[in-house]
Amino acid sequence: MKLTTKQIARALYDALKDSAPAARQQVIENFVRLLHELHIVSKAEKIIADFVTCYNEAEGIEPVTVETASALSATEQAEIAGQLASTLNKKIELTQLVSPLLIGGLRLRYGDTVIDGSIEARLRQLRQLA
Amino acid sequence: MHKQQIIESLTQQLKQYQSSVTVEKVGTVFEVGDGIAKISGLADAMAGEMLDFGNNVFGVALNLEEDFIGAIILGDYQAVAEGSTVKSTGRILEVPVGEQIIGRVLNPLGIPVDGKGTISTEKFYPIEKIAPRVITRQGVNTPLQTGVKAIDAMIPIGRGQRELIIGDRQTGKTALVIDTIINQKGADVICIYVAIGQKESKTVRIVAELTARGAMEYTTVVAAGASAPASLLYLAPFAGCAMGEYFMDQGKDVLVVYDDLSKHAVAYREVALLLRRPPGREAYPGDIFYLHSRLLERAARLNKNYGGGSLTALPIIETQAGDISAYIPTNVISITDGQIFLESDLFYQGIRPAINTGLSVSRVGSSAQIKAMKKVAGRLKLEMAQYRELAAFAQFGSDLDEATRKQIHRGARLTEVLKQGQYEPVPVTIQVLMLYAAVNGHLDDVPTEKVQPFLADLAEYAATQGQRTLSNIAARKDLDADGERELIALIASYKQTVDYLVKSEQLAA
Repeated sequence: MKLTTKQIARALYDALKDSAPAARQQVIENFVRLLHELHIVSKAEKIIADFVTCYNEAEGIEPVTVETASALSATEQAEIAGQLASTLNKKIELTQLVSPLLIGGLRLRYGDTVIDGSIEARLRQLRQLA
Repeated sequence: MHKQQIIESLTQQLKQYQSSVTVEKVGTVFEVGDGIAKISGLADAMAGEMLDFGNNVFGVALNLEEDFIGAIILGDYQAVAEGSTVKSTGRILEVPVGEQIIGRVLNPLGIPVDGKGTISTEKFYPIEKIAPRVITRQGVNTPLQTGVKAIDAMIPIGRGQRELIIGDRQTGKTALVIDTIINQKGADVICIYVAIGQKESKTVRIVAELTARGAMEYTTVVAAGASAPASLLYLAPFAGCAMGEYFMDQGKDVLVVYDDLSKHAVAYREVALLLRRPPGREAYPGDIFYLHSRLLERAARLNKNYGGGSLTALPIIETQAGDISAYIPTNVISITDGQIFLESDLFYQGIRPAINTGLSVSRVGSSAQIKAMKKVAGRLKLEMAQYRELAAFAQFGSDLDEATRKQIHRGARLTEVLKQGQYEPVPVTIQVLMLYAAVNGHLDDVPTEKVQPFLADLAEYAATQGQRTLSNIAARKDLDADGERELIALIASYKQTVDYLVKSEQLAA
């Protein structure tokens, strides 16, 4: 059976989790050698992406993108992260994005979900209403 | 209206308007082409859910796979680009239903294409619905008069039945259903004609014909033309069925014509192959049988407790060179409650409608006939069967005994009686009169070539002289001894007015 990148990433995660911190370097070296042997080094990028998803899922981490019209201060970021952490019940990994098109407010994005509280979205709604 | 009033109502409206924070589920298109899109994300999309591609382009999620969704795009897929966002709507695809759609020409999404303005219905029905269950149903017991003598007499169709019309191209399949729709005038049946992959010119011609004969007053046309994307062709019969189901739920009788399901199968094959579903026989996907059976199972006759409505389905299948054992024809034959075979040989012999009465059957049978028709039709079927056998046999020999000669003589007249022009549906009482005359030998002294004008004039004569007799049959729906005597008298009195009858001694010679 052909292994999917997801399965490979999962296997790497399991191997790293079970090994002692000191041995981790060795595990990664072995893993790279395995990729080479299986002739799938070209898929490394996809495997890394899947590993991140797998890691986040296992450790309860939710990557969140927050989009605002102007840059957020550190306290504001912490506030948003704290609020989200309590509602989603997960550790939050915040990425900031500045796009002036929003005019005001903010837009959060995690997984498939988009929470849109920007002025731009409100204007769009108003236009649809007319 | 004063300025102040306007400003007041405006401020009122603005106060009421609350823009809340929106929470949406989005995905990303990562592959698009030929009317389909692959979308990553949208992990909780439902099967058959409507997806919003933006710019008023919608799609339907058909394939839910581990990492992506395969969706068909309804409408202009060129506007959808790789990387664009897709929103889920949380709704199954629906079409508008209601009285307003009657008399209109719609596309499979319920958008009018006849240029007579928009439709604003309150209700929407999902295009895919589970068929009525056993407890809601009842046996077919009311006839759906097609106005075609050969069908009403020998292959009767009941309200709630599914009768397949099958034949090669140019054998009069569409003509038959259009006649049926025209004949529903005053019969309190709502008709829905679904044109799947038909030439737009043909659809226009049909609509014009229906309008000219006043049939559009109770008819809706759902049209997905030959140039429409496969996704719309695939949806068309389901949309037409959903529109019909609304009226059935109102307790009305509905007739839905699917013209034709072979093109529907081809459209579904295209969609399925693009979505990379594994091909099966003739490259059709494995669920093509299920596709047609769940569509045709929605035809039903509901019992009184559930409103008593009915939905009759007349699917059409086009065969290639008379091959009824191809994949799609055999599938649909096994799903329906009978089939009407049209043959090009008969068509070219001038027997129109070109119905092969030997191979055509209606499994619901005579329970969908009025008693008067049952009485004349039973003998008709038998005589026709005997005639077919003898006619094939008699071609080889000229020396025939008296009984055989008579049988062939009678059969030739019966064949003439069953011929009928297009757009000439015959009311059931007139049908009873004509068939009664034929099977009881009253036409034996009419020359074969004069049978048609004789019947046409007889019908006219009966409409004026025999009104009471006919209305009696219509009211009682039965033909008793008195009625029979009256019919004989009517035919005899009409015969005195014609001069082309063959004398009985000439007949014997």
